[in-house]
Amino acid sequence: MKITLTVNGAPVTREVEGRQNLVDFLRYELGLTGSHIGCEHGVCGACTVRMDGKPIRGCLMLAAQADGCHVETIEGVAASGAIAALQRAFRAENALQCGFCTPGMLLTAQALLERKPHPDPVAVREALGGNYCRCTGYHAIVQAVLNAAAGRAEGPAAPAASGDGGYVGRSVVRPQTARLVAGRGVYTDDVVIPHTLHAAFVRSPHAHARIAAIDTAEAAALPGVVAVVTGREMAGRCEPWVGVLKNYASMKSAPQYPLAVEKAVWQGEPLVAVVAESRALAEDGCARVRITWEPLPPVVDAEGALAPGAPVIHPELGDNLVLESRVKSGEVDAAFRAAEAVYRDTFDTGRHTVVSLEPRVVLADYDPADETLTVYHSGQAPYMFHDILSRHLRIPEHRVRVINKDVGGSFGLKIHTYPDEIATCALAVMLGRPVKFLADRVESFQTDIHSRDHRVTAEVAVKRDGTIVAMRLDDLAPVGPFSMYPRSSVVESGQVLRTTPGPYRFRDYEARGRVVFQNKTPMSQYRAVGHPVAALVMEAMVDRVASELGLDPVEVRRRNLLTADMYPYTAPTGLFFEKLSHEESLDAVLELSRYRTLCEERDRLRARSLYRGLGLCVFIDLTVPGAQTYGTGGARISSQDGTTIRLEPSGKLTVISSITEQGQGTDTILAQVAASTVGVPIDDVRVVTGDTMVTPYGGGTWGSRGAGIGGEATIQTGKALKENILKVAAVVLEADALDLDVRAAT
Amino acid sequence: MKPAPFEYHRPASLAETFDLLDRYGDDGRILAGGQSLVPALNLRLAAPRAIIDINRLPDLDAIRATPEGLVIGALVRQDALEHSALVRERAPLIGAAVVHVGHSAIRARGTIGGSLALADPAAELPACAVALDAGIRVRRRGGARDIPAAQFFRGVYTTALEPGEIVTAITVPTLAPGWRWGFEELARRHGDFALAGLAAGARVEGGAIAEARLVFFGVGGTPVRARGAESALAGRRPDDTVLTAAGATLDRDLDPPGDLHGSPALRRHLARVLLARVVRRLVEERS
Repeated sequence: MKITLTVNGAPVTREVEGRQNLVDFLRYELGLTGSHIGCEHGVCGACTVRMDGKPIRGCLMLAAQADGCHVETIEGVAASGAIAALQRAFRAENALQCGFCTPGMLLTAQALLERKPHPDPVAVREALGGNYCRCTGYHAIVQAVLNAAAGRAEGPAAPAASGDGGYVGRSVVRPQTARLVAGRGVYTDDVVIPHTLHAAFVRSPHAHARIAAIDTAEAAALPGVVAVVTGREMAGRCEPWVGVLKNYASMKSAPQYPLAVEKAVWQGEPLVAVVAESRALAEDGCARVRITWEPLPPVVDAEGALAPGAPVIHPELGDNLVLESRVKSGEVDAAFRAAEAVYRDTFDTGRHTVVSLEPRVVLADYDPADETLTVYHSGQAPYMFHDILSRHLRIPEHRVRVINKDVGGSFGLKIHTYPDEIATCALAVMLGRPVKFLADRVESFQTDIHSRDHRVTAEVAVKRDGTIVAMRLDDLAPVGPFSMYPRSSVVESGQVLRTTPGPYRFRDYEARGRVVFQNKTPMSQYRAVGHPVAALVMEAMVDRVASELGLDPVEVRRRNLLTADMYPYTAPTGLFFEKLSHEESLDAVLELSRYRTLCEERDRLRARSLYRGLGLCVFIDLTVPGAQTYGTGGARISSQDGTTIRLEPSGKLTVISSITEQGQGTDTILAQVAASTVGVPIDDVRVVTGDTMVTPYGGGTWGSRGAGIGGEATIQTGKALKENILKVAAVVLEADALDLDVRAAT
Repeated sequence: MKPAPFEYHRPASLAETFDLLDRYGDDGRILAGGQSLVPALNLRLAAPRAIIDINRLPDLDAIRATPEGLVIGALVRQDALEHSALVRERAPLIGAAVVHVGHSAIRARGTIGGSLALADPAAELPACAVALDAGIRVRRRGGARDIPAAQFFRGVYTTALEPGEIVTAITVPTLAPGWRWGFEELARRHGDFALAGLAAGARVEGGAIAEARLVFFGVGGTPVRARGAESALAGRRPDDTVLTAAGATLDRDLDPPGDLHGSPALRRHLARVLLARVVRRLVEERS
């Protein structure tokens, strides 16, 4: 039907299909990509637009319903200046990281302030309650709205000139947030390539079932459907992958294909790809693919996976054990025999998943004329993906290019090899046309890696005074039907084994980890790999000791913590620590949290039947992994990173780095480092990341590597550039280079 | 996820709407605020042949005070209820309840008629309709009827609506003197569907409950009137003993389901907490 409406003040007339949502209409028909698609069922608020003056969900209204209405999007509202104070406040308060939720947040906050110019924090939280942010934790957003309401947002202060130490160690308003608060971010789904096709996948409704037959005829006959491809048809176009690390001799996993060939091993596994002129048509095609199933008994719980007679998910592997690993140090049995008390507990930690607000998305463009594959990817390790595409699709490395545009949150979710993404790239090669796949929220829940499903049994041997003398640990981790590629699915269990003793000084430690297959969504590592599980187990055991022996939990921790004079220290797990300060940290936390006051409050409330929990957690966070993490296992993930700094003729700097940006602020960090090292104002620096045709080779941003490794590379590059500048200047100025320096003009 | 294809119709009159309902029968779905239907379309949980968008029907979006009570048109948006002085004055229970419906962007589209016709067992407005003894005005080709709210809700997503009928208004009887109203719900987060909720009214005399109407939601297939608890309160001052006794009768009044979000035992417990909170506040207010 034909609709006529006003969008950002301008009349628009278009023919629309009845089923098209307003947000899809705005994004794909009008190119207004500032409104984002995060869930498509009205939960996340990323698609918020104003409809006749009121914020509404763009995904819960049909475009046809907007006929005759006035619609405003972030683009229009930002251009009008109506939210300038909010935009300034968001930037100054760093109330946005990846920026994917930000347009919705701003429009919702704008409506709140129109209705209630001076809201209190509760009103702000209630008003924004329907807008999800996965990065910030909301505090900064609430503060930014309050600041804007109070007229406190005078805008980001102009960055100070580089003085002693320059910009490093000081807060700098992130330059790229100017784009993001204006709805000018460019996420992968915002990229338009002419003649693009859209992929959707038929996914397994079964946890474990053999594919007896697939009938694609009806789907292929549907107008608008360009191709229907089964696992068998795609298998020849793509080398399967096996997610094992070579440093574990006994580790095993099965070959994984982009589309399942013989059988499905988890509910949600992609089986058949339907490629069509639109996503909606591709889904129509999926609904017409008929699959005949022979259901098989599924393996669901971890213990059942190893039980005698359990169904074996990959019969060629013999059993469901991915890897058994052990850590042993000291005389554990003797220590337990001599212990004054022994306590034992079992902990189950629930599966969860990452839920980046921007789902996984890939747009693959294969040009048969020059045999080049260009892939826009919402990812965080472009060179890793580049290598995988090159090897598994058999395209020479120099004919692949991976580009990360703005990434709407990742958190370690987007560093794994997902079969539907590889299938999309293979389809682009097969069809010779650009193909896009954007996971919807249901697909995200079914196929994004899950994490943290562990059953851990822990046992501590202690003295009456609360000293822990020894610990035993047994971790059982079910990781789904495959070990993920190329980082595997065993690192989380390994981290549980290695990080559980944390900052405690006992030397007698023994741990076993068993990683097993099951018919659930694949698990792998993401943010804070293994740490939450390890900290939960260790700290719960410490609290158990305190409670059993009638001791103060703080004192039990003090008694067992490594002290400053014990560093440098090699832990019983083999981890080496140079210098850590647990006692000072504990003191600081107790003071900052007013711990003793909180304890008194808790006890007072308990008398009134109000139960308030109060816990302490002491842990060591392992970050900035180097080559030892994956390199020893042969996973082809660069542990080096590089920065090129280009001095432009006008004296400006272009910093080109292999580190990537997903909202953490690495772009800003690199700019701070480059400006400080070379000696120029930060406004004179522009940072380029996320393009394997342009940036140096490197591992990208994960495990907090961005600042630690990319920052250091930028320091070294900046120093080299400055030295060159001074050398040339010395010649031009006929001076000694040692007498010269680069300083920002004041 | 995109909806399966459907024919989109936007009738300009009730007569045209009845024609479409006749034409499509069960294959046609009425689209009002769309805040529950459109997600179901997007997820392809619903795939009707036709969508009948009633948002442009005339005269269904007014709130009017009439001799028979407050008449709220079916297309009145939830945020209009929230900001209406008439609702605040003549149906304060609805005013108190509606801010718990989703979030402001949802209330900007959601309608009262849609909430009632959908009959989600965890929804706020059906419980209010029962507590207020409201009438649901229903029209069909060549006729109309008023269905008492207590008889309108038949089960999960099931109402007394017959094929060819649509909800056009809700009539809230004029409030009798001495009645006070209270609303509260318990949800994991503000805006979520309630684990348990209570829409309550009481006639208070000298600090005692002369009579009460207690309607719980989220604890059964429909809004549930807790008659045992109402009796336990009648004629009494709601001190701790009386509230505990009334709370105990809820075990007979309510048979809540268990699901991912809460066990039957948890919901019973929450219902008792709500009962004590709301009733205590009804008596304390203005006394």
